[in-house]
Amino acid sequence: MTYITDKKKWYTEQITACQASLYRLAVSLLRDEEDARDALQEALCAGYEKLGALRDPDKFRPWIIRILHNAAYDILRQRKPSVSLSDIPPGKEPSDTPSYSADMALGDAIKALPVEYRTVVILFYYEEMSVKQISEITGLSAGAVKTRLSRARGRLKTMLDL
Amino acid sequence: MNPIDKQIRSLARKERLTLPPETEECIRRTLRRLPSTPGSSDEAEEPGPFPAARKLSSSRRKPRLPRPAAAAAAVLALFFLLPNISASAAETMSELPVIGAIVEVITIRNYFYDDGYHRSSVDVPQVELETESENSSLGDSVDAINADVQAMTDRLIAEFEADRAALGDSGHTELSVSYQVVTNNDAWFTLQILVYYGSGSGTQTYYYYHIDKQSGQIVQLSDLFLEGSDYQTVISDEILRQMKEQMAKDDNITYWIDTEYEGMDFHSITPDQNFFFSEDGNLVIQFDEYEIAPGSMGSPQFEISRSVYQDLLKEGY
Repeated sequence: MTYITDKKKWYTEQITACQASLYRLAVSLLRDEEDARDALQEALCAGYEKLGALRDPDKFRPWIIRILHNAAYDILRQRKPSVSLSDIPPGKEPSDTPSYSADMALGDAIKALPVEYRTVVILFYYEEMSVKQISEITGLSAGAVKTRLSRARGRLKTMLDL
Repeated sequence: MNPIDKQIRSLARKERLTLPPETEECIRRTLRRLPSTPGSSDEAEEPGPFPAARKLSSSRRKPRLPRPAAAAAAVLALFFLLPNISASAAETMSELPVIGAIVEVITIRNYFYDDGYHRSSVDVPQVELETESENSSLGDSVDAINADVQAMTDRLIAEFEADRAALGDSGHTELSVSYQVVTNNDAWFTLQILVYYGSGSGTQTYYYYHIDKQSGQIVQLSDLFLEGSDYQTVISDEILRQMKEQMAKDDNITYWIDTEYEGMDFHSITPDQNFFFSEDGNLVIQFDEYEIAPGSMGSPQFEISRSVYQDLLKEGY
């Protein structure tokens, strides 16, 4: 296959190695398989396009996660809320929010968190990244990452019955 | 570390995540379609699933108008002067003695498979000349299209069989190949082949084959326009205008223009861009899924009014 050059091969290998992480983040943020695929595809194309900008190949993983995070947020921003938030009676969650039970799986519990907590939670617990690394990916200050983590931790504790 | 964090991290390590087959297929496809060099926008480098189909449309010589025999010259001249695809031209031509060869498309093979997990339905079309043609390039063009279609469908079926064997009952695969004769009048022939391949929500890809029946040549988009004319910019600008208009009217419509990722934005159609003619004789530019928009937008089409590009057309088109 002459069309596969080293860069394409390398990129393919890197993506394959972290595709589960990328998918987890996309589907947790977007809660929709098709949107998650769109975000993945957009991120994969954009990442390859910008590959020259990646100075340190060892940083590929956080680098591509940041691109995916941006792609997923682009999709979130494009979404038009079908119901205005003020129309939802107090205490009632929008219908696409997974309801939680005391013994739910971690992944489902994370999907039930408010969207602004999901990235920090996934990067901290699944990717085992530091607050500083998460701050670099999300563009949030270290303080904001810590605040979100702390609030999310409280909710997860209840949901997972820890 | 906070004990709760330890507990959650341990849960996270235990949680196994399996990619849905359709997502895996989407990733595989996206990676496969990347150009060999990052940042290269050279469409010719994109391997695509069926290099043969692309090769045919990109490596052809420019169509040359044949020198008609004296007896047919007057009638042929009429054909060249009339807009080939307009309704009025079609009507006029139906009253003329038929000199263009009649082209027909038949299904030579249907490859059907269904075991509950993997399903395929492949109609293999074959273009045939109904009448003897003095124009040998027409015969050559028909042969080239048939060979290309055959190679493409053989390759797809082999790919399907390989995926089916590899996945067994752990995944789903669907392959569908259908065709449609979009245009078939005295002057012009267009065969459209639609390939759907994937799992769950797969991806569809369009292939178009056009024959200019007068020259007998296979034609790609660039062949319609005068040498050196800036048809790509003129048509792309019109597409961009339509995209912006649609996006302004409907928030659910998204095309990749002015996005954060410059490399993905739509800038221009290519010389071998997919196209066909609408019933009104307007050019319709066809994009594939994910080519210029998210998958939710399907395979976008843009009809370009003839008045937009009329001045750039070669004589006869």
